[in-house]
Amino acid sequence: MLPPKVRAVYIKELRDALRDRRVVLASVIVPLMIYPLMMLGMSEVLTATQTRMLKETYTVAVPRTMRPFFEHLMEDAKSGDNLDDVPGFGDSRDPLAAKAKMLREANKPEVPNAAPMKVHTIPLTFVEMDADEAGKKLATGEVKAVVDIPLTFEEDVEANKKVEVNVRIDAAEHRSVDAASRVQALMERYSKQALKNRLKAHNMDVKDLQPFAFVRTNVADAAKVGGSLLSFLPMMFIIMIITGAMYPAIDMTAGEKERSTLETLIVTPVRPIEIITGKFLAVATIASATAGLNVLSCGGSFLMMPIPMLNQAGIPWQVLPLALLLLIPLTFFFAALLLAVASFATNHKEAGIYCMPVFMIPIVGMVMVMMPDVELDGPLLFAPVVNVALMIKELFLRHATAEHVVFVFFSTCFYAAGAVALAARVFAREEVLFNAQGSVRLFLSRKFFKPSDRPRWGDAMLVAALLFPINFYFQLWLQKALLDFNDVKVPNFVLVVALPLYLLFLGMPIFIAWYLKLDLKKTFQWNAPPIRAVIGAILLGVSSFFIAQQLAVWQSWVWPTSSSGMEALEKPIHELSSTSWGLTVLIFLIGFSPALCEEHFFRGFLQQGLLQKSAKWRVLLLVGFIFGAFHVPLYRQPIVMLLGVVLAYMAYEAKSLWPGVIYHFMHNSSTFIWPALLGVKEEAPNPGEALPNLPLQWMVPAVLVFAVGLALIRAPRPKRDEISSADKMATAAGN
Amino acid sequence: MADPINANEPVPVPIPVAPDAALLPPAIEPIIHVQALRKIFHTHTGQEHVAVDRIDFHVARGEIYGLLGPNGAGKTTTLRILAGLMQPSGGDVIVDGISGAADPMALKERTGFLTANTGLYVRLTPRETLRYFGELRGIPRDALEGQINELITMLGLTAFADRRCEGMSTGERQRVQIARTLIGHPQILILDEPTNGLDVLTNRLILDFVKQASKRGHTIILSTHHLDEVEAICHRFGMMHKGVLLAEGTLAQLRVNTGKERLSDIFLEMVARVEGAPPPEVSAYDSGQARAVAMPDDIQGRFQ
Repeated sequence: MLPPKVRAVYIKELRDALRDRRVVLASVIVPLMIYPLMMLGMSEVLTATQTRMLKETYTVAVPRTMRPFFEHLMEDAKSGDNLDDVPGFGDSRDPLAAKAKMLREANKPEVPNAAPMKVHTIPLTFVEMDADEAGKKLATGEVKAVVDIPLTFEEDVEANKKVEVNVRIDAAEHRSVDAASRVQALMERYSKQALKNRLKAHNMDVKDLQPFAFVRTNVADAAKVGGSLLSFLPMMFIIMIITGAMYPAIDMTAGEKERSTLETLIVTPVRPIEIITGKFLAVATIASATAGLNVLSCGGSFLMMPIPMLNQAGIPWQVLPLALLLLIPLTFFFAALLLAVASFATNHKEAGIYCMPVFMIPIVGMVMVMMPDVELDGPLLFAPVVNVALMIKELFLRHATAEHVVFVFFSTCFYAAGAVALAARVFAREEVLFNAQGSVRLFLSRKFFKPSDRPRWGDAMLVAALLFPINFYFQLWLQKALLDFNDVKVPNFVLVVALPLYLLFLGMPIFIAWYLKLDLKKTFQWNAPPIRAVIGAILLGVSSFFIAQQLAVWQSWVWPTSSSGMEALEKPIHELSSTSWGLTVLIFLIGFSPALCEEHFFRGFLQQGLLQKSAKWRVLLLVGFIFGAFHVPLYRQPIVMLLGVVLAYMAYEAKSLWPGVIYHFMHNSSTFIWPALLGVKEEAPNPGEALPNLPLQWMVPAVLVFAVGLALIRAPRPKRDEISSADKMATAAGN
Repeated sequence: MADPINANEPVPVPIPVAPDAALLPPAIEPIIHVQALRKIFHTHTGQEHVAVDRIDFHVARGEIYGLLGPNGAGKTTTLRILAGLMQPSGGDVIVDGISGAADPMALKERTGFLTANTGLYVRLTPRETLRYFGELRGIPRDALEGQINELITMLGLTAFADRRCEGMSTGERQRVQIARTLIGHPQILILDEPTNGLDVLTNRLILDFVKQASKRGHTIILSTHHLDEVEAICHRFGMMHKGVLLAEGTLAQLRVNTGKERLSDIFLEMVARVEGAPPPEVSAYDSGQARAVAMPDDIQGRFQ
């Protein structure tokens, strides 16, 4: 349910956009029509090509006196023996023939009688001329190919001499290549016949040439083969989304400025965030509808249109809804990004220029990653936009894993939230709304920021969205630069763990808060905590390890553990935990550093920013969710999210960062302190195995201590009579 | 080079401005207090441009206040701050006791804003436009439909109320704009160059609307650089030049102090004075040099 003013903007923008022929054209008609038109086009081109191949007669030059020989070959091809079982020259170099062959192989179960190409359907005309003259005519296109063949060819073959036949072509001319393929087909047939004759002369059979049979069996079903043929589709989907979002985004921002309607809108008692949210939702709706129509049109076209290659291969229908699901957050991303960018422009033309990079950069990225050998892994897993394109491609190819789908979906949601935050921030700036010259610089320059207590909602979300990929790529770079996974050195390990924490989760939020002229003390809640919250944090710190472990056990019943892929890092951890000095380093690294740094970002900058606009529990849950999302692998995330919510609740109730730091520090440290104290030899579970329950004598005290800790954290509420007397005083003061 | 209009005349003392509410007749309740209002814009090279420089004035409830001055005087910026569209760089606008700097939404709730150049959503009908702006003003749905019908009847929009705004004449568009401004019954109407570039008939439409709105109890601040056309409708005038409020008063007072009849002549006289001598300092306002400005009789009568 949308707030009334947001709803009003949303409905109006949607109505306005749908009455605009340009929006209807770009967002509805083009996405619907592109596939039928493309299919028709492809069908026409294929038919025309095949017709040309079958009917068009090419002239080929041969040496003088050799014309009768080739005409004889033509006649023989029409009426001669079937020589399919005789080895030829190898794979045909004719691309169309190669495709037909691939499809015959791919679809053997469904289309066993797919017709092979017939040599006799290929018409050629042979003319005799000198080699030099033939070369000149080949260059002018009068002849399509020139066959250099010895005049004693037949005798030489009869005499078992080694003979070479050369076909000269103009590779820039498709017809010339075609003609060469036809000549090759004829010569191959002659070669087969000669081979058969030679074998016969030695009383041998064709089968004797093959000591064993080598058979290639295709196990891919028709839909998967179809998927491989359709791997270009993700790029089409994404291009259509951008096309669908671009015009409405420009019209709702730069268009409003151009028509001078923006002033009438912002003069109403509506906050900029409400206006931009309504506009964003309208653009996102249109872009989502574009995506939906595009996917629908794509499916419908493949169903209805006679593209033999695809219809024989099969369409992976089940992939299309999932592809659409992945495209929805991407529509949000582009809707917000285009709104933000177009807001800087003063008219449609200018906005079109500003938005061009938003259109072009993803396309260039997608073209690069859509190469056959590129897979969704490593850095590409979190690369905005291209990860969605690759994910859909993987879905078509049936390589996708659930973990990848979740990562791509949530990372795109993150980027979308960041783009929305950016749009909100841009739209709230009066120099952007009132077309100040150089508004981009004014928007970014610290000099023009007004001091404030805490970050805004948009700033918090934007920083979270930026930090997400930066953290990932920075860690990946550090690991690549510093870690040898076969032999992890302790100092390098320390750097790999500590640097992202201190630079990104502590340094970056403090720097941004300073840059935005925020009150650092209020933003990060650096004030002293109440003593009850400190005691509560300590109680939670000593007990939550057991609760988290038991939750992990329960989770493993329904979601078996899997490999983290970071087993190599266990070696330096074990190495460090074996000495008291190493244990101190480990406590600093895994206990203290994440507690100090992550609390500054998640419960400081992020939570304080989100609380500016959203209600308490919504924020606490969101902070917990985002906190969990930053912690890979996937199976760890649900429990980390819960811990994140507890930490967020603690920071909210204590009005101070420090209890959370204490709790976070104790929880992390207890992961290796408690097992040591209790004499438990910690062994990593085998992937796929369910974990054993924790003993009851550990769990009962842990739950009790945890509950007391939570109760202590909760800030004391004013009593009812205190509230009513305060109300009375306020009323009296008002009167 | 001296201004030819004043070349042979002695430089008179600039007319002081009356910024202090205490100096207004006590029976008249000021609804708008503009206090040391300042707005600085930054160019893309980081240079400062002072668009409005510490101006003070008050507007009484029900008054039509003309903010006059040439293009670039700072009128639009002042009005945008008054309407809550921009945040001041210094000073404040107090409306009904509420600080505009602290709560711009409160300003927006109380003001309707109209200019000659603001556009309409051409793909919406006037009725849809009014409904949209009514919803943005938070008017309950039942009351909103009543208000829309009332405005459509009052402004003669019935014939084209359900026709899209594209293709409407300038006059029809301005009527829709007026209706949009009035939706939600804002107490204060801010009209920024409302007649700029309009034809004679539409011009008359707007000026009639201003008079009618004043009779209905709206407080109006009207800016224009067509000085003479508002002589007859404004109760008081403030004259701005280069971001500074040069003078303020009723037409009669301004005539007495300049010896000129027409507002345009009065304005030129003011400009000549300040160009010849430095503009009045803010300290002058505070030092008691400011002079009380009497309200027109009809306004006084209404509030006494």
